[in-house]
Formats: sequence, structure tokens, C-alpha cells
Amino acid sequence: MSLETDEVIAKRVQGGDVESFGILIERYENKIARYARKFLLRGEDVKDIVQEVFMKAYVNIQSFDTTQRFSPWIYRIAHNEFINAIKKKERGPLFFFDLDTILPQSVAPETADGESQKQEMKRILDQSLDTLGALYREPLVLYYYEDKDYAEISEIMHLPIPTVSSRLRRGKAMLKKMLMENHGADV
Amino acid sequence: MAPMSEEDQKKNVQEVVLEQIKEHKVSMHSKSYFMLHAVLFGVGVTLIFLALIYLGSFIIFGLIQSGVWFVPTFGLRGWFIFFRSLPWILILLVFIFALVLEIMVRRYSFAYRRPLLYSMLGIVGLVILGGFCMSRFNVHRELWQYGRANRLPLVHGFYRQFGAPRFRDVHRGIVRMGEPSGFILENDEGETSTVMITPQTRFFRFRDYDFVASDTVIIYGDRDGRIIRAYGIKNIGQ
Repeated sequence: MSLETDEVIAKRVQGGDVESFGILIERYENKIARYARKFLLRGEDVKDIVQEVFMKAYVNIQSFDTTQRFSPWIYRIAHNEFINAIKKKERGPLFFFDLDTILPQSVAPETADGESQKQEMKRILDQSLDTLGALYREPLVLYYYEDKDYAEISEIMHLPIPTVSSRLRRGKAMLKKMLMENHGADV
Repeated sequence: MAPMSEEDQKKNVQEVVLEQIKEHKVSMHSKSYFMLHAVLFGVGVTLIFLALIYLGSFIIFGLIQSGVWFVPTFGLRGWFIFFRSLPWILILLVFIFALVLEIMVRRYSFAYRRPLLYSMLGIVGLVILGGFCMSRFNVHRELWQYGRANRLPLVHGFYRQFGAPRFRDVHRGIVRMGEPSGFILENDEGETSTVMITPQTRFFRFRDYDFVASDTVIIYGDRDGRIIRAYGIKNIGQ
């Protein structure tokens, strides 16, 4: 595998090197597919959606600023594609009114979860991801599965960092509450 | 983009995407496409912003011109008249423009990194500042006067309807001469009315009572033909 950065490769693609785009697909295909599976909660058409993400990325590659990081850019395209997929499926306004994005929120400090804590949270997520609404599911997926920090999630979802923080906090609390109710276990 | 065939389903994502690119089924937009897009978007944002400033300052101008701006000083009934006389269509238009502008600027990082309330307050603040700057140059007064002289027919109707609306109980004009029980008021159209001052007429400051010829005053009171029975008078000077 090439040791070049994504940004250097993206610059080559901008210059017309189509094969280099294959390297970017190789690097991101599994990540975007996992993001899609966990966020959209469907397996059957994930491949189509991921393909669509990379095609959109290629079409819009000239809008990518190579002085910035490539990862949030491609995740942003994926986010938009996934939201469109949900909208098509649900045929209704999504996240139409969300007080979190309107009013200022206090930012909970971004504490680095320990590896065991993170694995535990992933286990809980695996069990009950489908019980959470898309509003809370997406930041949790990005944080726990894609290892994105608050600032990156903010860039991907176009949300203020305090909103990301509060959605993560609430999402985690909801998950724990649901598990407690279902199993009565101390999670 | 072309839909996936059955054969494509068997291939991996990388193969399919690269194949589609090489077969020119998918092509990238040029840099100039994005530059043009950004410029057009910026022009759109600027135009909506300018329209907002224009409308915001126009509403204030219209309220001052009609005298409605000053009626809250006449107490609770004054506030009632104030709200009743607000140009709600224009206010709704301002609200829609502000909403569109907010949606447009949300794509910029300076907006989406902050709560919507902040960018909305930012827009309102800039519109107020822009409106204030506009009022310093008397743009509306100039346009209104052109409109009155029928030199700008399209603007004429707009300024007549919204720039200086006339109300049954709020009257703005210049004091022309004293009368035994009041004074003669001349409005911007050059029409004169007799203002009757009665024991019930309210003055809030000494200045309101101490008006002289050529002072501009706001009268709150019912009109009966060419006679206005004043419930309140506010002197806003020359």
C-alpha cells in the first residue's frame, strides 16, 4: 500500500490520474461501508450507496482543498448520501426542528474513553443501535466505530461541537437506559 | 450516474467506479465549475443580504414617516396602534429573506460551527447596522421624494403604499399656524387639517406642548373630515 497521504493522492486525481483514485477507494471503502451499515441499518443496498459515495467524490474532487484533510471531506459526502437515502426511505422531513442546533449548548469535555470502555460501548451499540433514532445514532457511530473526534464529527455533520457533544451524551444515556430496562443489568 | 447492472454487482466497488470513470459514464466537474458555483452563491447571499437591509431600513423609514414609530409614547393604546399599524407583509418578507439567508450561510463553516441562534443574531445585527448606514444616506427619503414627483413610477406605488401609509388615527405633519383651539397641520402631500386640542389631549414632555410653527409633530387622534381631535401630541422637532 502507498505511504503517500490521502491529500497527495487526491491532488494527483485532480490532475487526471484516475488510477490514484483507486487507492483512495481502497483506503476508504471498508470504513464508508461500515459507517453506512451502522448508520443506515441495512445490509442489502450498502454496496450501491458506497459506490454512489465514491462516484460523487470523483465528480466533486476538484472542490476538495488539498491543504485540508481528505477524511472529513469524503465522510461529509457519505453523510449527505446517507441522509438522502434515509429521506427517500422515510419520505418525510428529517431532523426538521432540533433545538440542539439552535440554542447554545454547554460542551462536555472530550474525555478519551479507555480501550475497554470503548469496546464495552461498542458492544452495547451493537446490541441496540436499531433502537436509537438517526439523530443520535450517527454521532455514536462516527465516534465509536469510525474513531472520529468531536471536531471531525462537527465537520462531517456540519454541526456545532457542543451539539455533537450533547447528542453523544444523550445517545449514550439512552442506550444505557434501554439496556437497563431490557436486561436489568448494570451496564 | 448509470445504474448498476447484475455484472457490476459481482465486481467490487473499486472496479465498478474506475470502470465507470474510464468509460466516461462519470466525469469530474472542472475547477472553474466550482469557482463559478461559489461566485454565484456568494452573489446570491449578497443580494439577499442587501434586500434584507433595504427592507429592514424601509420598514423603519415607513414607520417614522407615518408617525407610527412614535405612537408607543402615547401609552397602552399607543402600543396597540403601533402593533396594529406595523407593515406585517413586509415584516413577513423580512422573516422569509432572513430564513433563506440563514439556510444559505449554514454551508459556511463560520455559521455551522456555531448555534443557529448566533448566526441568526449576526444576520439581524448586520441588517440593523446596514439599515442604520442606509438611513445616514437618506436613500429612502430620496426615493420617496422621487416617487412622489412620479419620476419613478414603479417605486412611486411602492413608496406610496408602504413608505408613507396613512392611518385614521395617526397623523404626521408640520405645524403651520396657531388657531384658538389648536393649530393647522400640513402633511407631506401639502394637505392641511385643523388639529383640535382639548383638556383630554395628552402631552408627555414640555417640548411636546411647546411647539412652534414649522415643527414636525405626530398627532394621535380621530379624523373627522379635515378636523383631527388630538388625544396625544408628540413634537419631534424641525
